[in-house]
Parts: sequence; structure tokens; C-alpha cells
Amino acid sequence: MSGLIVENVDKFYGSVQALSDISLIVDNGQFVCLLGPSGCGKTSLLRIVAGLEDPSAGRIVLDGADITSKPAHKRDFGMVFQSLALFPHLSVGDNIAYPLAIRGVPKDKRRAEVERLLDLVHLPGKADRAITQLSGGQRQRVAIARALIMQPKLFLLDEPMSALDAKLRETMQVEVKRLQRDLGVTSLLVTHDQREAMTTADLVVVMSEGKIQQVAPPIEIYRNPANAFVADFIGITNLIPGRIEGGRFEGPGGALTLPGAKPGNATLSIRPEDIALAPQAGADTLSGTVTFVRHLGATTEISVDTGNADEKDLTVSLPGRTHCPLEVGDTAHLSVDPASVVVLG
Amino acid sequence: MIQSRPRTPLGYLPILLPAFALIAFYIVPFGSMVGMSFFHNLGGGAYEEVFTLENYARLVSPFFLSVLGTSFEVAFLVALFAIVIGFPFTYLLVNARRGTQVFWLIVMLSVLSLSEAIIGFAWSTLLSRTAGIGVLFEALGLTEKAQSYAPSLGAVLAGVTYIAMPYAVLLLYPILSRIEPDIEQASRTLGASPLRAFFNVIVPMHRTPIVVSFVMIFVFTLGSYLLPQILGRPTNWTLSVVISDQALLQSNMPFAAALSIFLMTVTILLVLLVTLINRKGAKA
Repeated sequence: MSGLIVENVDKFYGSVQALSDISLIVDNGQFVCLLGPSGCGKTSLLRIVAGLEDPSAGRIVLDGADITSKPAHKRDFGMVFQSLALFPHLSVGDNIAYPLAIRGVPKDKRRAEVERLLDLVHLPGKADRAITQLSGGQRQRVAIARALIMQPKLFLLDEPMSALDAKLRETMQVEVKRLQRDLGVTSLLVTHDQREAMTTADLVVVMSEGKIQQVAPPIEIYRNPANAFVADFIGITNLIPGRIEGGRFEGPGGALTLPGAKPGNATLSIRPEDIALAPQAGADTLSGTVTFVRHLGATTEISVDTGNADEKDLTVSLPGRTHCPLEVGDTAHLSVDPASVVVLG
Repeated sequence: MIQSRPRTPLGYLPILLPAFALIAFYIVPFGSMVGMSFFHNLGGGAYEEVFTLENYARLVSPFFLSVLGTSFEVAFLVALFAIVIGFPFTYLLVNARRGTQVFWLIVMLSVLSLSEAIIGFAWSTLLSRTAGIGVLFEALGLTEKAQSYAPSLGAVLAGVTYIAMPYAVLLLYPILSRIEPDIEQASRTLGASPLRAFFNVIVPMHRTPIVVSFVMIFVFTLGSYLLPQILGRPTNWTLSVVISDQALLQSNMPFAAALSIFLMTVTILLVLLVTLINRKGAKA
């Protein structure tokens, strides 16, 4: 069995349960993202995998061997910390070569390896710089190079890009993904940024309150959320409570035909971009009053009050160049492609 | 910070009191000591106000150079011990629970509140033959017969280190409490055992605060006066003891003044030297 297996892991801090019964399989070469809001336990899970914390129960297995009680410094993983944790007293080259120095690799060989890694992270010839002379993005690259120099079995990243500005962050996300693909290193990234998860991951693990909510490829997470939490957390969605009977959904603002849907109480998840304007009310439309119109350039967002019980307006997102005849106070009729509707129990 | 100068002379008024205090209590006495060090001693507490270098000439005798050597030896070793013990201790302390931290900081402050005389006599009892650790060693079979460990150089070092330790901890605590826990953990994920991470990363990372604390404790210890007399033999006496001996017992004020100025000059030069080396090291 190759790859990383997390088996029924629990973690308690005093009486607070941070992780409950986490099981996860990461195949070799895969890039897996732990995604969730702060406090969902994603960082605890990563730290347990890294060996920086012990699980209260459960096992960590790597390539068939139980490593649960192996100390962090014997796991041969590479980890990039949120604060980067570069050593301020060492030069760029010495930072990157630190894992080699610890293992007694001779100096000239270290030097060559450092050059190779610096090329890999696009910082050629910066080995003799001091850490303080680097920009935020460059420090990031140094931290990545340092974590990768030992060709680790597992590459762990704990929200390393959260300190960068938005543009640089996007660039780094693409770069990390490329690097990972080129090296084929099994990776585990913790983030609360869904764009980051979508950009980098082969598999996204959505977590909330210490539990795994869904494990699926990024697009699957978006298109087929397993529950209301995932639907709401990933992107923007409209959650519409109502009742299904005889293949028809009845909810605030109207009804929709949903062939084959299970009868009973249900919540629909409909993405804003999957809603279109209909010329008039019909058998398959939802209607309501327009409460706000936002022209965002790329898209136009319309908020429609359909009388949802929790007073949440529906959000409709139209492509920016679509003509929008509606103004605040008008009545809007909305049509939805049944194929894009996700029925949540 | 406001850096503009006062617009009217009246604006300088607030610094008048500190300026007066500085002149009256520091500059004037120091100036009179400098003057005194060039006067001719007549013996019996009397001196003649004529310019002479004889006091300084006397300094370059083997006896006073060896006393100076002892002073530096004690100060150097004490600063070394205080840092070698204090740095790991403080590092453990900042990583401990809040309650533990508060407890030890209170202990450290309590040590500072003790009178040096009490500390001295406590150590001399502890190191004595009849009631000290010698008895314990004998009971444990470590030594054949209980013996006394004071007075000796070791006793002086133990006592002065005991006093210097709280300073080391209080100097290092604010600096070490700012370390991100990530640093130590990062070195562990990169393959360093906790002990190696400490020596490989934590210590070299704090090179500058370590040197600064060392110099401060060195200077602080150089003036130690009471403990060398209680715990040491006359050969272990520091320059401060000799100065007080000259001033109070021999009533040779000019020579005591010269000794003081000599001690101070050497100290300042030493501190400057270390700061210079340190600044160079930080740049490289």
C-alpha cells in the first residue's frame, strides 16, 4: 500500500475535541488540500501528519508503515509554515541547505543542491543573500526550496501563502502546483482559501468542526456538494428550503420540476450563475422582488427577495454583457436548469 | 516620537531638575574623584593637592595586576556560567505554561530582593564542613570525610553566579519570549532533534542578545565586593575589595580613586571592544 493513510484520528485539547474520527487516503504523487474555515481542525491534522503533535487516537500510516509515534525529525517530510519560519541568522543558501547540513552532507555537494533548488524556485544566484534582503514572495520560495531539498516523501504546507498580497498569492499557487507536478511529490496543503484549493488540489478535503465533510476533486466539490455546509462554503450558492412531491419542488417564490427527485423536505443548492431571467412567470419559475442590482463588470449580480424563510435573498449572477432590464423594486422571474440543481437532504 | 526642539527657552525648563541632579550627583563627584587620583597621599587620610602620577604608577605592579586579573576572571566566569545556565533555563521557561513562568519569575525576583550579605552567609554555611553539602557527600559515600568548600574561588563563583542568574534570566526572557514556536518546529521537520535544533538554530539565532547579556552581567559582576570577602580567600579578592580596603582601612583616598578610575576605564574599553566585535559579527 503506497501513500499516506490517516486512520480514525481523534485529537483532544483538554476537553475540546479538535478532530473526530478523521480517515483519509492520499495516494503517492497526489496533491491534497485540507480546506475549511479557521478552527475546523485542518492545521491540527497537518501537524499530526508532520509529527509535531500526537493524535489522541488513531494511526498515521505511510507506505504501509505505522509512523504514528515517529518523531517529526525522523519522518523526512518537508514542511512550509505559515510564518515560513526561515532562520534569520542564516543566509538563503544555508537556510535551504539546513536539512543537508543536519545529515552531514559535505559542503560542495550542499552548494550544488542549493543551486539546483534555487533554479527550481526561480531564485538563481541568491544563495549568499541574507533573508532580510528578500521580498515576501522570495522568502516564500526559499521556504519551499528548504522543504523540498531532501526530496521529502511528503510535502506539507500550512497556509504558506496567506501573508502574500492577492496577486502574488495567485502566482505562487500556480507555481506551487507546477512544482509539485514536475517533482511528483505527494503534497498536503492546508488553506481556508477555496481558490487556492481549486488551483492546486487533485483532491479537496472539506473540513468543518473537526470532521471531514467531503472528499472529492475540486470541480466535484463545486458541482456536487455533499451537504449544505460544503455548498455554502465553496463559492456562492443559494440554499432554498422547500418540499418535493411527485418530481416537483415547491418552495418560496414558486416551483421547479426536478425529475426523479426523492419526495420529502429538501434544501436546494443553486449556484447564482445557473439562474437565468425568464420573460414571465411560468410553471418552472421562481419569482420575487429585486432588492439590489450590482454591475460588477464581468458579471451583474441581482438580489431577489422570494420570501425565503430565513430572509436570505436569492443571488443571480448574469454574464456582464447580458442586458439587465431590472431595477430595484421590479418583479423578477427566474428560471433554473434542473440539471444544475443539487438536492440536499 | 516628537523630536522638535522647544521654541522658547522656557521649554527647556523641565530638563533643569534632571540636569541639576546629573551634575550634582554624578559629574561633580566623578570629577572630584578624577582630581583626587592625581593628588599625593600623605598617609593617615591626609593628602596634598599637587599633581602627581605616582598613584597610577603604583597600579602597574604585579600585585594590582593580579588583583585586576582575579576581578576579570571572576566576572568572566560568572557571566559565562550565568548565560550557560540562564539561556537554556529561560528557553524552557518561555515554552512552559503561564503558571510555571510566573512562578519562576517570582522566584528570580525574590533572589534579587535578598541582601547580598544573607546570600553570602547562606552559601558559606552551605559549603561549610560541619553543616554543608560536605556532610551530605560524606553520607552518600562520595567523599571519605566531610570537607569545607569555602573559602575558595569556586565558592565565590557559586555565590556571584547565584546573584547574576536572575539578571541573565530577566535580560533574556523578553527576547526569548518573542521566538515563534514555528522556528523550532521547522528545524524539527527538517531533520533536527529538539536538542540539535536548540544548539543549531535557537542559540546562534540569539547570538547578539547572548553577547549583550554576557557583557552586562560581566560589568555588573566586576563590581562585586561583598561575596568575594565572605566566600573567598584574600587571593580571590576583586579590585572592588582592594579599593574599599585602600579607601576605608588604609585611608589612601588618592590611590583608591586611581584604582576606581583604572577599573572603570578598563571596563569601558572592554565593553566597547565587545560591542564593536558584535556589530561586525551582525553585519557579516
